[in-house]
Amino acid sequence: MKVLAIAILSVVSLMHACGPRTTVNNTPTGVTSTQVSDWVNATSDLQKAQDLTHASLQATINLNHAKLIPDSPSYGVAITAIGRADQLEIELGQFLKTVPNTWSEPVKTKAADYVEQILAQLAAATNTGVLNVKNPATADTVSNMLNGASAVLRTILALKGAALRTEVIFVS
Amino acid sequence: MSANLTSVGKLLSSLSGANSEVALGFAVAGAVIPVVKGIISAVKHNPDGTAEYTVIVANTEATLDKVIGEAEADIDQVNVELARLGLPPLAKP
Repeated sequence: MKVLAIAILSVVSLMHACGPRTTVNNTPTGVTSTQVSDWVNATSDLQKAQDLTHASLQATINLNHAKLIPDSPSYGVAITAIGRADQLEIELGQFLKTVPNTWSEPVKTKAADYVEQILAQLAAATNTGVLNVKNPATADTVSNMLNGASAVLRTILALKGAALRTEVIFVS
Repeated sequence: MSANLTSVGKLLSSLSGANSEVALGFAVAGAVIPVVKGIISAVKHNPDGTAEYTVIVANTEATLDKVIGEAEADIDQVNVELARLGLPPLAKP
């Protein structure tokens, strides 16, 4: 990652010296570049959160099949909650597809509603207490993985005109 | 580099006219690292030989499709477990 960052900085420096200057804008009518940045960042964060949700589910099921998490009502509650988080992530993804490049107040509000519901489901899963078993494959607990997903999701709630995290550059 | 930039400028100009979607990236150790995908909406050639271009970011459709597809696969797995436990399945939105 560090090498990548250095490479990006090097390329950007080179571009400023002799190459094309790049500008990232979103120009749909009535939409600012800041809103585009936030929408792109929200989409990226949703993907990260889903990746962590997926990994948590896999770990939970694997630990159950390895008898480290027993079959129990709490296990059923936990995987149901993770599954409901997946349902909500689908709905948020479907919603974001309907409002491309737009992070207006109504979009932000609706996305925040989904995020809060997802956070509640992830909390419900961790509150069962059955996910505190350390996963030998990751040396971490499923609870911590779900907390990571929650942390990523909270960054969506905090999006307020943050700069686009992706540098747009071109090197041939 | 300058020859390439000239080619890039021509490419961007043609893409701007066609309103085409392009992927932008950079090469590291022989591999192209995708940075962003979008529509070149404008290209301005400056007298000093540099060029400015505007990108309408549009890289997230595939990302969202991936999120949706993987979450649906998760629900399938959850439903297998729920069935084994004798619990009702979850629906896919």
